[in-house]
Amino acid sequence: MSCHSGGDPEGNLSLASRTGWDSAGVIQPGAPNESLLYRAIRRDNEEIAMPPTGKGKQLSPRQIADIERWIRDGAFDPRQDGPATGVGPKKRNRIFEITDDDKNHWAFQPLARVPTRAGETDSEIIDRLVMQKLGSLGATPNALASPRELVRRIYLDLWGLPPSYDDVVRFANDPSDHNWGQIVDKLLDSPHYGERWGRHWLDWVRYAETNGYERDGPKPNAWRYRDYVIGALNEDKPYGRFLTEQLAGDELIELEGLSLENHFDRWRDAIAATGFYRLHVWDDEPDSSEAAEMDDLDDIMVTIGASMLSLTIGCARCHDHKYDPISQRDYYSFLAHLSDIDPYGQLKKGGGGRGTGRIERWLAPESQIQTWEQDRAARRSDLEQELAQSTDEKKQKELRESIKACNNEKPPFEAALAIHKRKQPKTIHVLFRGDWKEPRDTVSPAFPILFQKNLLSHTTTAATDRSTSEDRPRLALARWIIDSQNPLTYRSIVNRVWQQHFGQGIVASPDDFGATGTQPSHSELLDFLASRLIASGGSLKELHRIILNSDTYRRSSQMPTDPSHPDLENRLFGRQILRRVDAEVIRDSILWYTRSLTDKKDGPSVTPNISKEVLDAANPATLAAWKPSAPEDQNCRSVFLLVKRSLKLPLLEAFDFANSHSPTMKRLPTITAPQSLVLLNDLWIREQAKKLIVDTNSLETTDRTRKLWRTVFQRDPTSDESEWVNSFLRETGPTHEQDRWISIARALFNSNEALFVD
Amino acid sequence: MYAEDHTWKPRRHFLFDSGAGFGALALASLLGEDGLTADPTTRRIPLVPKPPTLPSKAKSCIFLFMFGGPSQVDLFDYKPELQARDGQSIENEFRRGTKTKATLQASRRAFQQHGQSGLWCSDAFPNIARHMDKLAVIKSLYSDSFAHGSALLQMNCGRIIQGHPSLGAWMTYGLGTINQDMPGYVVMLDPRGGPTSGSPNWSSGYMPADYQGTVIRNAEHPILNLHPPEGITRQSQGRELEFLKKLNRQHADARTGYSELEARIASYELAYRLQIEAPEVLDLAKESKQTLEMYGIDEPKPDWHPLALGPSSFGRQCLIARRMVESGVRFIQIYSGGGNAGGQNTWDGHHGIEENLRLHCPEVDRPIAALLTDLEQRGLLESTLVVWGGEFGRMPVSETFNTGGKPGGRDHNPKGFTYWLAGAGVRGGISFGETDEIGEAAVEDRRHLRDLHATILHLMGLDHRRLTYHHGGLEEKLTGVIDANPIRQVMA
Repeated sequence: MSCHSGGDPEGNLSLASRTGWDSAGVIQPGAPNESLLYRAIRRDNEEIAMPPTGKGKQLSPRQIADIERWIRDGAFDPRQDGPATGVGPKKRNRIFEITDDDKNHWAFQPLARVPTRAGETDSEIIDRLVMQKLGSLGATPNALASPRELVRRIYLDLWGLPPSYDDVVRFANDPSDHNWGQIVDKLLDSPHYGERWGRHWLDWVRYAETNGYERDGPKPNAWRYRDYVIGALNEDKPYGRFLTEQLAGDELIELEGLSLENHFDRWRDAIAATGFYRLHVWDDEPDSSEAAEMDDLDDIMVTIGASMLSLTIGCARCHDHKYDPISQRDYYSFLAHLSDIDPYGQLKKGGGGRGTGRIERWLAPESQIQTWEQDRAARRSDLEQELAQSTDEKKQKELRESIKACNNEKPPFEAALAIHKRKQPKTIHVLFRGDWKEPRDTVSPAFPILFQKNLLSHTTTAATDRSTSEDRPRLALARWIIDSQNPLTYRSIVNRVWQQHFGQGIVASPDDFGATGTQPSHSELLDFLASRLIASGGSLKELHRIILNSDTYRRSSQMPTDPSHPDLENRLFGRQILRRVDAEVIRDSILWYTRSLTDKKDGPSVTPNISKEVLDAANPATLAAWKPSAPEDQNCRSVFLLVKRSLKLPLLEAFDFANSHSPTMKRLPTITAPQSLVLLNDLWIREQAKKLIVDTNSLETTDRTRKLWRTVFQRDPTSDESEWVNSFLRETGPTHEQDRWISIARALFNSNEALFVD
Repeated sequence: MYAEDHTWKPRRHFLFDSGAGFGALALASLLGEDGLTADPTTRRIPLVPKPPTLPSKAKSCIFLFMFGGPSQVDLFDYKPELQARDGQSIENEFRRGTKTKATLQASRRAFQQHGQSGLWCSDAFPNIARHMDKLAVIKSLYSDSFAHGSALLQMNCGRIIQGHPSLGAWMTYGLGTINQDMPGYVVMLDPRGGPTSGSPNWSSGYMPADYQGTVIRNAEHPILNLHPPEGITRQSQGRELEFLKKLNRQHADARTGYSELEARIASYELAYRLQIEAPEVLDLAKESKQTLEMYGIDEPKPDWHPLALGPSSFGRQCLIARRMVESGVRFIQIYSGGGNAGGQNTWDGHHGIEENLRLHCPEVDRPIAALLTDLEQRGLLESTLVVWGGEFGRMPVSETFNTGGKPGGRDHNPKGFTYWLAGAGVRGGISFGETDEIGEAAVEDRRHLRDLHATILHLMGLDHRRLTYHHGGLEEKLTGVIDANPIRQVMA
């Protein structure tokens, strides 16, 4: 007991409390023979025998028998009241093995083939699968939503911008399936689609343009990754290619022989995509840069796991995964695929800050870069020579400064945040308790054991194609992830696309398809969509089309009035859910109403104006770095605003913008008083309300009211509403008429009708 | 999968009846997040008051954060041996694994034992010294980082990396808040600026934004956007809100069953009330002259040093903290020291520890003593936990590289540092743990700061092992994966 208790128990196993032995998983209540603790004290074999031979007194047979009985009775802690109720998934055995339960876990099964019927469209298959489930519960789905609701829904969903009144009227005049399909196609073909859906991807990979921590320094040219994502979605880049470029774009271009000279755009995209590896928070003053490098790699692992696989692989960093069949060795073998990435930060001993490593790549041919380097070297050596010969003090000073300037000169080439390859791959060890100072076995790149048991078709390929896995481990990783037989990848993305369209996924835990996650509500539907995505060559636009043309997507969001309705939670998608729009949609919509939205489509981020009271609370380093962009650039779409980890636009932050530190797989909308305060009192809101009013200055009250309603709500005012406006204007008060109109406009911006989608 | 259905109806009705909490009424539970939470009941209404899971009288916690790292060997951790060996040379590990030859520097402060307990306190804190019998002084803490940014994060959020919920977030997650018309978790910053790393220090991390700290700025504009822009009177805003309510009412009536719409309507009423309530809590006009004097609020700014503030600013914040405790705020954190670390504007005394102490000790000494007296006189101390400390301590050796070769500075030290607790559930007049003979590293009853977190949660009635939040496949805890233990010895 003295070894396995206290603040730092041996083997990280604390026997002092139920929490201790539970978390270590050494006792299986009711099953002494399956309990490591019992087998250890019974000394089943020397390897696990406890207390270790020669250390401490062995337990007497009587004591062992008592413990056996205690485990058999359920291993209750007598100091606690009664048996703890078993909640949550079962913890794994302390000795790692792949069990039948693991092999049978839904997410590790191959995609099921869903039988289709002749003449059935893909959208109809969705409806059929949803209806089947509803029918089995005796629930009926909602009717289709009204044309206005539908047009608002799909615009805000695909573009993150409201439709115009005319868009609504046009569809309402002929709300046919054909016209609906036309709207879907039109919206998917617009760059606004990528601006909206690209932001979802950025949430999932915790995109930001600064490093966080004390100085929160910039990630140079991070915006190229943002542009890459938006561009990839807009051009409907095959999903597998999209992932491969992020994981191994640099290797891909080598393999495909793409050169900067001949294929500049593709070459640049593949390089910028590897910015994926550079998005994590980074500490420029770590206690230990070795530990910090492992933290960075872990951050990448967690993000790959969440965003590409829905697997919580990061849980196996310090010990075997507690719930899923991922061993600690699996974790480090997986991580070994990343061993050729040049570290983000410089290795540094002692105190003080440190610089970044090679985190940028010039978007210029190697020969040009070399020419420039040689030119600079020549100029420097000229200057140095001149300095050596000069005797004039003033001249010397000038020369010294010129040399310094020459050293600091940046090449006249554009650059992207990207990775470089290490000269020698880092040797990856299994780290005892995740501690870099406790290296154990060396591991080479490999996929989790679970998936090597002939679960995936290509595992044989990966195993035989040593050259790929040894020379280009990241490419091997990408290929494994995008393999059509990988049971996780396509389910993962399809689930999140569904989640964005419906407010909840088919699997409610988008980051976790393991034992602690939730089961799919419609496994056939999930597999059907995943199969379709694979069959289409990874076309996300096609996936959207299938979903958006279904009746299921188009159902009304009316809540059932019957309290005994069998699916009040809408787990079965018999209806849509009323949802608040995202933070960016609130800001972008207001700019859209006032026709202020700029047409920025790419390029360096815009630094928004932030009020003094907010800046005052920021730390001075942040403050000094905050240089707002020109006024005419301010009103761009929110996706183009600078994402600085320590300082976000209060409007966006208040409305649950992604935390940008760890993958945000689903934003959790909150309703708070500060949200209301910012929408009511922020000066920017007032400016926009004023703009809307000035634009309608020439109109009479009735026309003006109609114009405002059509702009913000895409409908005409009701007679009640017109009366409210009239009486609001009539009431005596200290304010001018224009100010009252501004109040009305601001009230519309604040209204639930503007902020919620039916 | 449908087992949860029975919980659905009462929840929604409850939500209708409860009105909106300050940061309150997360929609998460309504939007089908149940699958993500181990215990859905904790997510129904985020900030509704919840009973503590352990016996506790504590209702509120005030965390006095000495940003920069206060020097334990000059304040509470008296080391006769250090005093005797002034000027001697030792090997000093000043960063992890990096040693240098350094000169021991005795404290220039006079130490004395105080009260019945005989706890040591230096003359840097003459007023706090009168309260030693109330304090439990923990002298044997250690943590993991020598750098401000990560050490601050670890002290506030339990990890040296960003993105985790802060102590106040965990507390409001576990206990909710008492007054729904006020924020449950507030942060007051030093007028010289925010701390290193900024808002991640009071963030809700991966939890919903309901639990994040609200920065209280100044008396006029305590909360961001609290007041309408210039030219808009309360009356005209009231009319605007009436108009908005008509729109929202009509909209909600056509969408029965969606309580988030009701919650949003309520959030405007709350915002409108808050415009009156928040300034009232911050308005010290009703406080007696005697009280203001006790906190040192009327003291003029000293002129001996451009960075000196005197007790006025921190005193005001301490008094506001007391008023917030009275109005039911759950967690209040006040920073002393602000702006970039590294200068004398924080407790980061690289550039001369004496000057640093002369600057900052008088800023907090009278206010903290007054706070303890005030809370006690009002019977609030038994339900209020007061925590004092920084992100780490300081070295017993002199730091010269920052002082142009002159001795006098002290470098960071996470290997051994001091915290004290007072109030609810705390055993006063206790000294716990020891550093080595020169005050450099914790040696006796060494406790990692996760044990301090466990202790604070325990005193607030929360079991750190059971206060979990499901995220990324883990049942996350403030104290992390390595088991932590509350320090029983400092509990009454």
